[in-house]
Amino acid sequence: MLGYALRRVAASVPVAFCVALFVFALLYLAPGDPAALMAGDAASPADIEKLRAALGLDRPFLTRFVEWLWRILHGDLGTSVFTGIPVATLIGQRVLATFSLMIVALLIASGIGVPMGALAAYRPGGAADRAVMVGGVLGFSVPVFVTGYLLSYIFAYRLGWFAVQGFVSPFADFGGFLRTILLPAASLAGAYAALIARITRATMLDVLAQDHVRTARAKGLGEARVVIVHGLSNAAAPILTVMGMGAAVLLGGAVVTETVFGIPGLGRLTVDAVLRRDYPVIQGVTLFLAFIFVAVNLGVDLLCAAIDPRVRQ
Amino acid sequence: MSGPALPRVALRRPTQLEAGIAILLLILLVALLAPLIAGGRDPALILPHERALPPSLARPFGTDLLGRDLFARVLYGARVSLMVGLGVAAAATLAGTLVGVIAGYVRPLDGVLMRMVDGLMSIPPVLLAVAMVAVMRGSVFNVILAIALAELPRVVRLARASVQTVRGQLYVQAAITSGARTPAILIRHILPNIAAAMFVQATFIGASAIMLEAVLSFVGAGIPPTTPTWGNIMAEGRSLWQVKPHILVFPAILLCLTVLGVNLLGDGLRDRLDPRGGGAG
Repeated sequence: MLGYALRRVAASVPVAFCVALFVFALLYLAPGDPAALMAGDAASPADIEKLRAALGLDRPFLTRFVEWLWRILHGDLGTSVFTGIPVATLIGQRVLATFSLMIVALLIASGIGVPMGALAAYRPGGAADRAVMVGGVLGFSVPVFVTGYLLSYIFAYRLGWFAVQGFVSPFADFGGFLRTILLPAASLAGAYAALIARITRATMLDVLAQDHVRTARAKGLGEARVVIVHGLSNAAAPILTVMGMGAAVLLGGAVVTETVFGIPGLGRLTVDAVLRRDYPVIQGVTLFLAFIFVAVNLGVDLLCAAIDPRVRQ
Repeated sequence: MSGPALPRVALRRPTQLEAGIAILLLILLVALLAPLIAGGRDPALILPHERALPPSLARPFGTDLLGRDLFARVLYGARVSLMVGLGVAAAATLAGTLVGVIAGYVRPLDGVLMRMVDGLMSIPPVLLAVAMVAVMRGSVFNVILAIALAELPRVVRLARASVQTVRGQLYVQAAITSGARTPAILIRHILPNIAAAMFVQATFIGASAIMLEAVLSFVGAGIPPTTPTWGNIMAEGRSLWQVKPHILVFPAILLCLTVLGVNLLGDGLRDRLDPRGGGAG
């Protein structure tokens, strides 16, 4: 297990390095001169040149990349051109809203997706199976913002059960947190639940056809025990892996959900930065979220190896 | 009197493939004939005294906050969506298959190429596309390029996995042993055998690209707002969505219908062409 864990951690280092290289290259190629932007309109060309040298912008790509990487590794993600606030601080202010949204969406999606997928595999062609098929196609076809506005219109605007906009910290007021987070999380969960239901169904179809399941039934175990203990625990690794890869769906969907529901999160921060061409913020948040994605998938792989010895091979 | 076979054929439930094709043909027709169907309504004409009108006979979808005719704008929006869907599906599939075939067939390059693809895949597609459009400025071409790059990793991974399966087959081994050149093996033996899987995946890429374009325009980081796209129309309806929901409703319906059509087409094609493959999601 330890050997596997070490190998897996080592394997994610080059991936993280490539992420950093892409994010840096993307913004390196951005048009517009940051030095001219920072110096302001009144600056002379000589002033801009001096500032560019001071910022190190006149040096070659590789030198700048290594320096930038060095600063990143020390937790310095740069400073917002627009507000002058360090990007790390901006991320810190927003991270709670986005992570709460993603975790609640994850709970809703797996709470619906796993049981539905298991039921669908238990009786192929049955009602649950058809629901998963239809729900799957709809889940992949209805964009997050359409679900978002629909839910918001019915449950927040018409019925008044939930807040239309905003975010309340779960540590300050848990009731208020639920009133603000449940609708955006539910709309974000849609496509993710469809993804989980599909992979659960496919994996469970394989697992339930295996000999050990027949043996479990033959020795007289109840159906619930057969499906949950002998079925789901053996299907857990592929389901968890797909859930990890699907974290990209949640991270991307958060950008849209936060726009629809006015949640001050990382997605909104990125979009605002894009509209203002605040490149350090775009760079910092993109890098941060990509690292989260790498870390989540590393964690998922280690978890799979811990619960399923076959993975370690 | 009546032929017995005829009504039975007419009553058969359409397959996913047929339903998908029917929906897409309808959308394609709407896109091609937009000026004709709009009947002289100008999608860009601003009429300040007719702002945010609800749907009526003269204005079937109502008007937006600038008084532009939403019926015409939504019809013209189909053009951008289909163009982006087709463009991204073609670009991502061609480039991705090329990279994937190289990674899958040329062992020494596999490690480096796949680490780069994993790195690219770690950046959530929406964020990558948003950042790229921010850098390149929004135009239909740039948006297609940005989304294609964001979708690329999925294509590369499928192409590489398919190539590795095929290259282990006896007939490929036989071709290698008999001294066939690598390009000939790739073109004659490998490509035809992975083509079905790649084609099926291209449809899912197209569906996801249409959705992603709408998302980019919706958050204001896509095609300039002067171009009527479904995402742009919805972005304009955002501020007043509770009182003027009609601005959001019509582009949303068309968007869902189009993506649904492409997904049904993909599911149907997969059942026909690539029954064992898993190109979904």
